[in-house]
Parts: sequence; C-alpha cells; structure tokens
Amino acid sequence: MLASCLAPTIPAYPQTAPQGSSAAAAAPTAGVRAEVLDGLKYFEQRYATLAEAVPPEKFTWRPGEGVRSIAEVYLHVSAANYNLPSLIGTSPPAGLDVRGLEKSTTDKAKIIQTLHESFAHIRGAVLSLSDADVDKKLKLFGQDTTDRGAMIFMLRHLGEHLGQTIAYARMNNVVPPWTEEQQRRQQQQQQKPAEKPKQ
Amino acid sequence: MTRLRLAFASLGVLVAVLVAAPRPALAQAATQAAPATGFRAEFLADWDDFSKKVVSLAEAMPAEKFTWRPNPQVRSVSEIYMHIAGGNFSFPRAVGMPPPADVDFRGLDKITDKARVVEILKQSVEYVRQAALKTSDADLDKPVKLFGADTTVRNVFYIIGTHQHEHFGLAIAYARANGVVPPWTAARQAQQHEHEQQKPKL
Repeated sequence: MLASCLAPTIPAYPQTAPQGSSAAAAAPTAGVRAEVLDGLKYFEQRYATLAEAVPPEKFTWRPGEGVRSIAEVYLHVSAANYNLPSLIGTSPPAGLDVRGLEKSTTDKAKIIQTLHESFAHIRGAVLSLSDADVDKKLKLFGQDTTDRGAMIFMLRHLGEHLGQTIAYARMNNVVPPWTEEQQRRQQQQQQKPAEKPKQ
Repeated sequence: MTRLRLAFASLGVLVAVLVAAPRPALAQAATQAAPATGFRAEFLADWDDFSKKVVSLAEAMPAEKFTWRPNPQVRSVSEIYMHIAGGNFSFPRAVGMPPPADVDFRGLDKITDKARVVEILKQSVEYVRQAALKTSDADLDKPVKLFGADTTVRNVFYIIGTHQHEHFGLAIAYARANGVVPPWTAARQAQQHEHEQQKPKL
C-alpha cells in the first residue's frame, strides 16, 4: 500500500503552519480535525505501548517469508505517517529517507522513538490545516477526494496495521498491555472480599 | 474523546453496551442515493473498498482454518470475523439505527461455519452502509453519546471504520500465519508476473 502512497498527487496549496513551528494552530476542540487528532492520539498510545511490550529480540520475527517483520510493520507505519501528510500539504522532513525507513533498523528503542516522531509529524500536518481546508479537493489513488477523505485514509491505514501488530504480538505470546490491565482489574474485582453485612 | 476510543477497543463489552444504549433522537431518513461529495461520500468510498477486501479475505481462508487461533487466550479466525460483524451491527445504534432484531449477539462468536460467517459478515457490512446512507449531512455534527462519552455522529462513523480496519489487520496476519496470501495481493503479484512474462527477452 505504501508503495502507491509514496508518490501521491499533492495539491498545490501552501502549508500554513509547518510542523513544530510556533505558528501551529492550537488544537481544535470540535470538528473533523479534532476527531482526527483524537484518533491519532489513540493510535499513538496503542502502537507505542504495544511496541514497548514486545521483547527486543522479537523485532525481527515475521509470520512467514515475504511478509513484514515486527520491526518493518512499525517502521512502515512511521514511514506512512511521514509520507501521507504530503496529501494534505505537509512534506516529510528534509533529509529523511522515507523509502528506506522500513528496513532502516531493528533496534527496539530506535523504532519506538521513530514512531513517536512520526506521529508528531502527522499531528502537525493536521494542525496546520484550517477547518476550511478539509473540503479541499485532491486525488488519492486516482480517485477524487478531499483533505478530509485523505485523513480517513490515514486513520484507516493506522487501524489496519495496529491490528497486524496486535496479531504479531499475540503470536509471540505477548498480551497487549491494555488487555493485561483490563484482565488485572477484572481479577481484582473478583477477588474483592464481600462486604460485611451491616448490622 | 480518547476515552471513547479506548472504550471501543474493549469490544467484549461493546455489544451489550450498544444494544442497551438509548436511541438518540436523530432523524433517520429513508435510505437515500449514495452522496457524491462530502464526508459520507468519502466514508462510503473507503468503506466499500475495504469491506470488499474483508469479505474476500474471509472467502480465501480454508473452511477448516476458521477455528484456528494463535494461542488459546486469543480469538479464532471465525471469532474475529464475527466480532467485526457484531461491531457493524451495534455501532449504528449510536447514530439512531438500532441493531437488526434477528441478530443473536450472544451466539455470534459461536458460529464457525465458513459460509455462515461470510454471509453474516456481508450483512453487517451492508448494515453500516445503510446507516451512512440514512444519515443526513446535516446530522454529522450533532452530539451523540458513545460508551457514555460525548461525541458526534461523524466521529461514530470514524470509529466504525477504524474498528473494522483494526480487526481486518488482525485477520490479514491470521491469514498470513496460515500461508494464505490476501486475494488483492495475490492478484497484484499475478499481474506483475504477467507483466514480467510479456517483457521482450533480449
């Protein structure tokens, strides 16, 4: 999928507030951008906590030949976070080899750092849009859509690969930390001693 | 709102919560023609594209693999697909479309027959489609509750999409672990192979 995303048709409108710039708008509290940012926050949290839970030696594991390894999936997600915002007017940072990112490292700490940096980039891209921009037209895989449609695609991409990383973790007997937490709370509730009858 | 997204991930409780949730007072119009522009058009373009992939992946899995699971604590192949279907039937309640009366939510994850799983999956995908068609553009910004949190009609559709995507990703990994190449990847590889064959040999 990313291969086709590497050369998107980029609409020609100015980037109003480059990522990290002081001009970046305050986070919106309602509307399309607020909802997309909420989605990004959810995905960053999930990807990062799951990656933290996977043992470093498992980052080269893959379910079969010709399929991405754990490290490659996380870096593929990061590459897309850098690349897809081109659709809505924010180019990848100068000097970053986005094409080479997927196979750039298998080091767990580096991968998690890259993941966070890539989420900061995609968040900055959404923040740099105005609410009026979301209806701007662009082409995605040859189809007419808008900035809003491109952001639907970004969330879709994140959702799909999160599911993949969860399955990879499970295949390596890693329980996602949020499930572990939920199970721990359920266990605690079951073990709670029954209240003494009031007399 | 992230609390809302964290809640939707615990879909073990989703069905019970959504089925029991009060129905919001949104105008549910009769099914309209597919919109050509706007959020719903974009949502539906995405939904139709990847729903086709979800169904084709289920169809590509051998029937005997529907009870396969990576370890005893995790959902099986059929349970993943029926979990997707459960979400697709339940989430639209938040936008004013209650689940179909004939869906047995408690029994969904016990269905392991491939033909039945595929059939229910197709019905659930269409159910979300109808929910998007029946929603009016004017309602998209209206406030609704999902898992007790404040959100909008539009965000419910975002969450419906990302929920199916997340479990679709799981289903792809399950397929790969069983040596099944996703049909769209197999088709692309076949095209590439054909292209290679047609190149003039020097």
